[in-house]
Amino acid sequence: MTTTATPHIVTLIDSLRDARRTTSPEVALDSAGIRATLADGIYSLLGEAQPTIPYVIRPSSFRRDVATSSYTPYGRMRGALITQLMRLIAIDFPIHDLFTDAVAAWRASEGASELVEVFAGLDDDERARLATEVVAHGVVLQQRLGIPPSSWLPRTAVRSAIRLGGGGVILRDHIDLVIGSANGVGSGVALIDITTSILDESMERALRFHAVVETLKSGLAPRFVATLSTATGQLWRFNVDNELLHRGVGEILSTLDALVAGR
Amino acid sequence: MNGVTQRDLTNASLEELCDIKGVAQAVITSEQRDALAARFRSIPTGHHRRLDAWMVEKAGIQSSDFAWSPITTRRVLGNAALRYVERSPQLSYSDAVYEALADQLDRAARGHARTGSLGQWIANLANPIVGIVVAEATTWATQMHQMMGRLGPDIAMASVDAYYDVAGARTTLRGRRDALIKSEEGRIVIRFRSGLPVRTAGAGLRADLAVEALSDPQGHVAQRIIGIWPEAGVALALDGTMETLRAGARDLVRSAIVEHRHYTRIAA
Repeated sequence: MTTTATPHIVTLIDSLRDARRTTSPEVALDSAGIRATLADGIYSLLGEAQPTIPYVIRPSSFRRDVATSSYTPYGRMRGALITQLMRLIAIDFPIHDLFTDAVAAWRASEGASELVEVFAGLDDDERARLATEVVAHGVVLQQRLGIPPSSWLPRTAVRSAIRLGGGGVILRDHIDLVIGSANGVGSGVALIDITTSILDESMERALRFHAVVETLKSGLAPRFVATLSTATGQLWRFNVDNELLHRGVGEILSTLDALVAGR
Repeated sequence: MNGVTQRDLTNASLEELCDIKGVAQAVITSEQRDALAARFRSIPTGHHRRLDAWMVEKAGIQSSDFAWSPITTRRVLGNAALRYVERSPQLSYSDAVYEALADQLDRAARGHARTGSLGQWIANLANPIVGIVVAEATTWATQMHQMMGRLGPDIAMASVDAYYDVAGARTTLRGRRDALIKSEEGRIVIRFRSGLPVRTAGAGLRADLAVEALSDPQGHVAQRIIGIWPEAGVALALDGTMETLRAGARDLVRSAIVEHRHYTRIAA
């Protein structure tokens, strides 16, 4: 893991640029093995019986126990608004007012939803509090993200949904920013998660989940997973290797085990 | 390859799906076209019917609540952007999306865009929403082009979707197609889809393949159609046999019947 302790100098994009320049030893990543291990583990947990409602595992399944404040409607709104700002920054789109631009973009993207209704029901004080938080997080985002060059093929809000165990388990993921190409020999893809909460161990688990889902989805493992906390400006970056992927698989199976036991 | 084949999106699987050596090309005869037209004419309609794979997948239910949003614009703008990139490979995906956006705005400004069209919708958007529209379309175009790069050198964007107007039946069939692989062995139609494939995804692909074949003046059927769900990491494929084509046509006729019953119920 690489932790950057100089938040005012290095952007996440700078950090990835440096990492991409560094030639790391070629690691043969076993995507077929990852899928087989998951399939075996799911079979041992579910057996042959298909659940009537599939078990859904998301990044939040790994974070909920630790970062509960981020999963209040207020925290989710803040996160959703920061995601919209990130999308505008990633394509170098001019932002005039961090809060109003984020709200306009979010409402257009989200359409009608429970969270939009909660937003509409905020009183003036609550809205002002949300605005000041979004602006504070947005400033950190502008300082610490950096603008990915178009040659890095930035993609934003990339969704994944992988059915496993004959449809009994669905892994749902949402990556804020994906850069690099999976084509050619080896993969140069970096998966970036922007969070408005602080970075902790649960974030590491969420990053490993991202890496496993991307590997299952494309048949190619990503090269890096990284995260930026707009609460602290802290950056984490991990090189993806077999150990990381297998730990991710183990955590998915533990989470599924807990879900099965709780149903 | 009989029936629907499902594969993960590994390079080996994609190579297998793109191999159509030995798959014979079926041809639709004018008698078959006439028979299909007769079937559609036998289903009364008080308006001009528009049928597509989406309706087949939804068992004939018309989409009544369509609204433009950054997500619903991404295929139109993203595919138009990829056609720009094919013509001018030096363009970045986001620059190409801006070109596609400018085309839409130009049509709206000249008064060529009809009410409710994408051009008119974009023309009235606030600035940050335009940004999200560009971000969605850029992401779509980038992902699709990345996937196309894994499908071999013969792949190219389809210039338009396939349309077939059924003679004397006030019915237009639309077959969506995002890209085509044309080689000496024949052609493969490629569809890029969002989300997870639903149970009726195979029927949708059959309908797209049938309309694509009907829209060909010589009636040549593509050897295969491949539906790719990049978000799910899954591809479904169907060979263009006469049996597949008949099933696709039957599903479209069935959709017309369901639609007719739906309108009859409303009228009653």
